[in-house]
Amino acid sequence: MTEKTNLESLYNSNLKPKLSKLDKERIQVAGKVKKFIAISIIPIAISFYLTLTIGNELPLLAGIGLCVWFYFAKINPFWQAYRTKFKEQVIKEIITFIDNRFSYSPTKKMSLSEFKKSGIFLMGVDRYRGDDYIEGKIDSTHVEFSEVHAEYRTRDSKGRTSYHTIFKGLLFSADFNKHFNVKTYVLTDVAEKMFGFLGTKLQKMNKWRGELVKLEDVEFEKEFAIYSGDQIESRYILSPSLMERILSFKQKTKKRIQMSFVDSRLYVTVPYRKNLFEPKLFGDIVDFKNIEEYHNDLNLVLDLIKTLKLNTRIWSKK
Amino acid sequence: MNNILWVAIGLAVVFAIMYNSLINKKNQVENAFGGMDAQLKKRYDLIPNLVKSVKGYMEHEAKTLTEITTLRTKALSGNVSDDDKVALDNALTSKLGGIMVAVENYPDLKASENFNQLQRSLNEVEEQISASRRAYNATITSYNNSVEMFPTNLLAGMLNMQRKNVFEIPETQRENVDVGDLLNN
Repeated sequence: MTEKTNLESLYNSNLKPKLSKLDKERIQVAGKVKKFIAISIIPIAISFYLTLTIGNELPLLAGIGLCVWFYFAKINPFWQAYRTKFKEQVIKEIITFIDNRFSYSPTKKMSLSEFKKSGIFLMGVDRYRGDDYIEGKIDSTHVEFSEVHAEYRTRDSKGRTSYHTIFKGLLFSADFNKHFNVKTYVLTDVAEKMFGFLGTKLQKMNKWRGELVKLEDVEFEKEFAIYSGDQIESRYILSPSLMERILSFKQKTKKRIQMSFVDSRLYVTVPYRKNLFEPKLFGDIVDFKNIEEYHNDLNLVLDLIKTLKLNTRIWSKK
Repeated sequence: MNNILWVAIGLAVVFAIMYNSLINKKNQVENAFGGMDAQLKKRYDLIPNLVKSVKGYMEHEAKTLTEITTLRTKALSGNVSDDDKVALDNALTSKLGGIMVAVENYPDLKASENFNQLQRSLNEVEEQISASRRAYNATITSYNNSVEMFPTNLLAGMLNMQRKNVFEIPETQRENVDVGDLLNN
C-alpha cells in the first residue's frame, strides 16, 4: 500500500466522521460571524452619522470599538473553540499517522531565543507569534519546529506604529549528525533585495557572520550564499552529498529556504505566506483534498530527517 | 602637469591594490595548506591505535597494515616536501580505505566496541581532511584566477607568480597504490 492509500484509509475510517461533525460546528460559527457582520452595520452606521453631525470622530471610534469588543467577547470564543477542536482531532491524527514519535502542541511555538540563536534573521524582533509546535526524537535525531511570525516595528513621522514581517513560516531545528565548533550560514540573497535600504546595513551584519565561503557545487552556489567562521569546518559540514540533498529539498519545497548550523544543531526556515494547519471557516472542510494538503505540508518538513540523512551517525557524534 | 600627477597617483593606488590582492591570495594558499597539514596530523595520530586494534583479527591484511605504518613514519619524519606530503596523503587514503572495506570480512572486529569508536574517529578525520582539501582547492582557484586574469596577470607576470595545481581529491581508491617509489625515496 502506498502512502496515499494509507492516508485514504485513515481518512475514511477516522478523519471523515470527525470532519463531518466539525463541519456542522463550522457552519454554526460561520453563521454567527455572518450575522455579526450584518448586524454590526447598524451601530457602525449610527456612529458614522453621529460623527458627521457632531464633526468629531469620537462616536465613530466608539462604534467601531464596541463592535470589535463584541466580536472578541462573544464571537471569537466560538471560532477559537472550533479551531482548537479541529487541531486536536484532525491535525494531531495526521501528525501521529506520519510518525507517532512526534508530539503536537497547537498553541506552543518555537521560542524567540531559538529564533535568534539560528542567526538567520538578524533584525531586532518587536513582535513574535507562532503556533503548531511539533517535537520528537526519531532514532538519534531530536527535532522540533513550529510556525512563527516575527515582525519589526516602525514609527512614521506622525507617530503611528506599523509592523512589518521579518519572517513568516516554519522554523525547524534538528540535532545535526556531526560535531562542530563554528557557525555556518546557508542563506538566500533575496532577503537583501527585499529590504532595500537596509540591504547595505545587512551586508555589514553579514560580515559578523564570518567569511564568504565559495563551494564547488555550482548549482548550490547559484541558490545560496554561504558564510562561516571557518573555511574548513564549513566544508566539513557541507559535504558534497549534503549539498545535493539540500538542493533537492529546496526543489521539493519550491520555497526560499535558508539554513544555519549552530551549536551542533541545524536550523531551517521555510517561508510561507499562508497560515498552515488552519481549518477553513468559509468553505467545505470534509473533502479529502484538504487532508492531503495538511499531510503534504507536514511531510515536507518532517521528512527532512530522511532527506538530509541526519540519522547517519558514522562520525564521532552518536 | 597636475593632470599627469593625478594619473600617476591613481595608477600607484591601483598597483598597490592589485599587489596586495595577489599577496593576500598567495598567503591564503599557504594558510590553507597549513590547515590541511594539521588535519593530516590528526590522522597520523590515529594510525598506531588502528593498526594495533586490527592486527590481531585481520591476518590477510598484515602487508597493508605494515605499509600504512611505514607511510606514517615517512610522513612524520620531517624534511618531507609539499609534493611528497600530497603523494603520501593519497597513498594513505587509499590504503586506509582498503582496510575499512576489508573489515566487512571480519564480523568479530566489526562487533567490537573499541573498533567502532576507532572507525567513527577515522571517518571524522577523513571528512575533515576532505574538507581541508576542498578549502585548499578553493584558495588555489582564487589564486589562479588572479594570476591568469587581466589585469592582475600583468603584475603577476612581473612578480614571476605562477599558476599552482589544484589538488586532485581521490575517491576512496580500491586499487592498490604502488608505494614502492615513495618508500624508497
